[in-house]
Amino acid sequence: MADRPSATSPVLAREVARPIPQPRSRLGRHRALWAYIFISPAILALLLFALGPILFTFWVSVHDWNLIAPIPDMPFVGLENYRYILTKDATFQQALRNTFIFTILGVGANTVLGLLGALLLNSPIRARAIWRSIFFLPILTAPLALGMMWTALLNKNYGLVNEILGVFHIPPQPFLSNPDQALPSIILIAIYQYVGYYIILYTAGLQGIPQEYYDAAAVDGANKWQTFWSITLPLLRPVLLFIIVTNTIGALQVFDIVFAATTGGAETSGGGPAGSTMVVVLHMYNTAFKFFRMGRATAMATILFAIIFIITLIQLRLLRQRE
Amino acid sequence: MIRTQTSPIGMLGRTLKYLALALLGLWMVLPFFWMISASLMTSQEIQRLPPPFLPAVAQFQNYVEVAKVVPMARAYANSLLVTIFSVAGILFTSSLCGFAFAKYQFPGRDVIFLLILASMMIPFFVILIPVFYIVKQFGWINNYAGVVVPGMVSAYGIFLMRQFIQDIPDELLDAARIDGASEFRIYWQIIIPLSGAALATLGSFNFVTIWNSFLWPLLILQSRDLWTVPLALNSLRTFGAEARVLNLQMAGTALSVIPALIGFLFLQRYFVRGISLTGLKG
Amino acid sequence: MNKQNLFKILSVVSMMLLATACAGAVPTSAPSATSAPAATSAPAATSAPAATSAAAPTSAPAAGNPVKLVVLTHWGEEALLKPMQAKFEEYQKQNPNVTIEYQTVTFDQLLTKITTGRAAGISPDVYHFYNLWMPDFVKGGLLDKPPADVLADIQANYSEGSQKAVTYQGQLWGYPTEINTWQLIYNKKLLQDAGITKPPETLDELKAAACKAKQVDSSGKITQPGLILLPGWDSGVVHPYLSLLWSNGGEYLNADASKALFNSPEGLATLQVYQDMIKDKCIDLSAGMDVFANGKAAMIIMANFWRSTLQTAPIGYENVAVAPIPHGANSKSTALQYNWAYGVDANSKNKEEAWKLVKWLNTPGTSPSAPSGATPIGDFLTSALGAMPSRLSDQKALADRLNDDFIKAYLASTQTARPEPVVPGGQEVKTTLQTNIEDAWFGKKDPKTALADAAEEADRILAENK
Repeated sequence: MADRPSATSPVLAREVARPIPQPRSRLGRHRALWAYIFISPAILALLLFALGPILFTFWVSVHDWNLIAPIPDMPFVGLENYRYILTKDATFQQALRNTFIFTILGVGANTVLGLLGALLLNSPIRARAIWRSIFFLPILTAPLALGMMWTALLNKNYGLVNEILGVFHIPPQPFLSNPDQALPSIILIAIYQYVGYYIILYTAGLQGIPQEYYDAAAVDGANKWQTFWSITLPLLRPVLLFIIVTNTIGALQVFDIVFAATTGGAETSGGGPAGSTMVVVLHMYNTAFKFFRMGRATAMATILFAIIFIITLIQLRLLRQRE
Repeated sequence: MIRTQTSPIGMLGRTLKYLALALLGLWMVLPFFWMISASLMTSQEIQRLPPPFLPAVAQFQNYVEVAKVVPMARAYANSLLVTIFSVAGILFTSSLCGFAFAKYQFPGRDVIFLLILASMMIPFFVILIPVFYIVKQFGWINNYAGVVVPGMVSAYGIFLMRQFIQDIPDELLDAARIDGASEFRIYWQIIIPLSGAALATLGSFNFVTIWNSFLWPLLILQSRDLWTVPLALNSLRTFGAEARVLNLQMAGTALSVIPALIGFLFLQRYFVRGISLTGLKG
Repeated sequence: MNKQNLFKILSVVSMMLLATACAGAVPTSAPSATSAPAATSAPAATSAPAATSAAAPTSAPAAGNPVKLVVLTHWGEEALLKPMQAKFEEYQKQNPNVTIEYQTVTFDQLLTKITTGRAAGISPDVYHFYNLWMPDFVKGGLLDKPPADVLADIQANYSEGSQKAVTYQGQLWGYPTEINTWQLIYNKKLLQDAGITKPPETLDELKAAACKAKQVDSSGKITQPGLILLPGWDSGVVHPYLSLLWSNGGEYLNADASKALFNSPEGLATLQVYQDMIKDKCIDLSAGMDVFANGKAAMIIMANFWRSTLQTAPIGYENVAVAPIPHGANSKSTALQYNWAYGVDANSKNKEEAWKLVKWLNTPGTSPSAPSGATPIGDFLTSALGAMPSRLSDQKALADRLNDDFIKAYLASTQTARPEPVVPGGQEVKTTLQTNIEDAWFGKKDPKTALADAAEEADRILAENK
């Protein structure tokens, strides 16, 4: 393992050793004031349009509300909603299971594949801008088109994917129409849809690494693998953290893709054959807007919130930037 | 041994690389291609099983029909207005906040940051009703402000910018401070230029998301002449017979994709290597 | 230096704008701000005057006072928007003091729009709603009780099934408009090719026909299903099942909707019909509606709103025929029906004008552009939507629009159709029944367990919601 470039690169060494002024000092207080000014418009907006409403959500979760009755008339039910969800709601338990599987596999795959794709894109190639735009295309294509397209491609009797499998003498697979294959199919669609997005994010991250570091490493005689592990990956840490944390937060709340692939936009409740692709947020949506049980839906949202919050804290702790 | 561009291993490596890129690229282009192909089919073709790959005869008139049935020009204008203002707001607030969280120490910093992250942890439709109520109190129902203002701040964007700005060496900032620059000037003249790639990324993603957003604008923009493109396109759908007009919907979607694509191509020049330490002269 | 100052100014200005928006919003939204808290006590306060205004129009605005009515439906597509708008324009011409603002959203957003508007205190005056939502609407005080003349009109001119469909707690809540039923749709050619000369009438015949008309290739792949099922869609699973259940002498819920009755020998026998067909490969669970629309499946149980798709589908409309729901040995064929209805918001400030509009829409002869003897809504439903009107006089007056074999068969079924029970928790019960039936179809549970589980869940839901 080659030495870390810090010994040879004065720039990196100085950066690591630089102290940040503490808030106690006069300089620190002056700076802290500016920081507060910078964040205040955003904090105000978030309080108003996100955090306040979230508190309202927690409050509703200990009431029984059918969305129609006036809010002050909601009966207080204590922890009844929570008790029901955690002990009696079989659909919720199935949804939670499906959501966790989706998150672990989806986030894992996208994190790794995205990085591989970005490294590919970042290496010396021609017409990089064109390639980048190509990877951006699935993001541009509206979810509706993607949902329709994949439903058609994965069709058991007529889909292109089964045609290709048939060439290899593999019998046609039901994919989305079978309880055992539906969830893996959804995961594949999700990976497909978002991998380009992560490739672009990683690419931007890679751009942020100064060429000087690579040059210093080359001077030190480090090969590609060593360069990757000692320079690229550590300096990608902030982006990696971002990707893993936001990807997880998003995956635990997956909705659009399951909705598009299993409801087709009609009055269906979705969730795939025999509920095999039912995810927590879809069940939450049905509970609120089909069953008129907003108290229970907000309780579900609170439980999910707690789960996401804890997982995020753990991730931040494990992956944080060494100060 | 140093690999050169012309050595056999080098060339094999390059070929494989382009092959991988080509396969990946093909895979990425497929849904876009499908959308265009579907938009040029007849109503019958689009319902057929097995689904045809290409239309028998390209129905370019689908595009004309969509523009006739749906007030596309007006919808485009509305979408552009809403999206550009929202994205500008997001870029500004995210970079400013991201800068503060990345490069400053202040009491409560980590707690506040966690709160910002927390705002991402609830699905939007759950807080739909209270947000709607608040927007209504401001008098912004049936008004562009009702869509733009709640969308002008993004926790996600703040998080993104914080991570990218962390990589900017503090020396640049200190050098500028020694030269007498104010904090705001540091933001404007150092952070922003060095965050080109991050801002371009954030901007393009948000452009697409906001451009395609449906539920919130649907509830806020009640008059038809305020409708954005997704709302306008939605008037093509017929409940119980969605399949029949899928070709028109795809045409409408294809039309609506053009600005985002152009914008992205235009932003390509910002996806450059952001920082060069040799410019460290103060 | 300039840029820095510029941005300082900009940020200060935007903060000021935000502040003025907050401050400025207070006086302008004060009326609406108070109406939000008013909405809380409104159901109690305004329902009293509503009772009196139905009898004696004292507080109603005089004929000269300008009135604005907001109407909300889910008929947002261009093809439906314009005709309905035209009707409203006719009304405005006949009643110059009234301005109608017509709002539309897509069906899947309708409930969201209604609930958000309600919480914010800006609800429409007139709703077009799905009858299954009534229990929660009524419990929440959203619907206004129709005035006596409207009630009398409904009782005189609508079928028992349709009246029942808009009744909750012994009260009618609006004018039934669109009526939909479920019937057996079959591909004439495919049945003929299989040697089946007439569509199946009994459950046994249904099984036989599906299995005779199916085609399976040498590798075991079902190339032509006998019957198409609709897993993943609650109505698609439960409505056909209930139709078959009722036609087999079974029952769904008991009279006061406190207990599920489908976990019975009839219920099991009905489910078993599906199971047998699945086992014998007469049904392919992966084949959806589009397979039938492409002429590659023999039969399907679907509702009449699918007509417009079939008219342009590859199957060829002339190849499509409709038959009553197959029945059991000693029972009659009974289809399930559901209705949409026009009603008025209990918080509306113009209740009387709103009911006047609703009545106008549902009264024969009020619209100059409608055929003689037809109501405006009937005209709209049969021309723009291709649907069936609930009003009996409309069905007669518009018979020439309802005269292709397809729609005639559905129309005939409305005479004996039974509405889906409108009970609190009804949607939840429906979903749990759907999930369990699908579990049986996909072999995850045996039919007996599936029905028992569904019934147990249903009983609990019904008890909770009482």
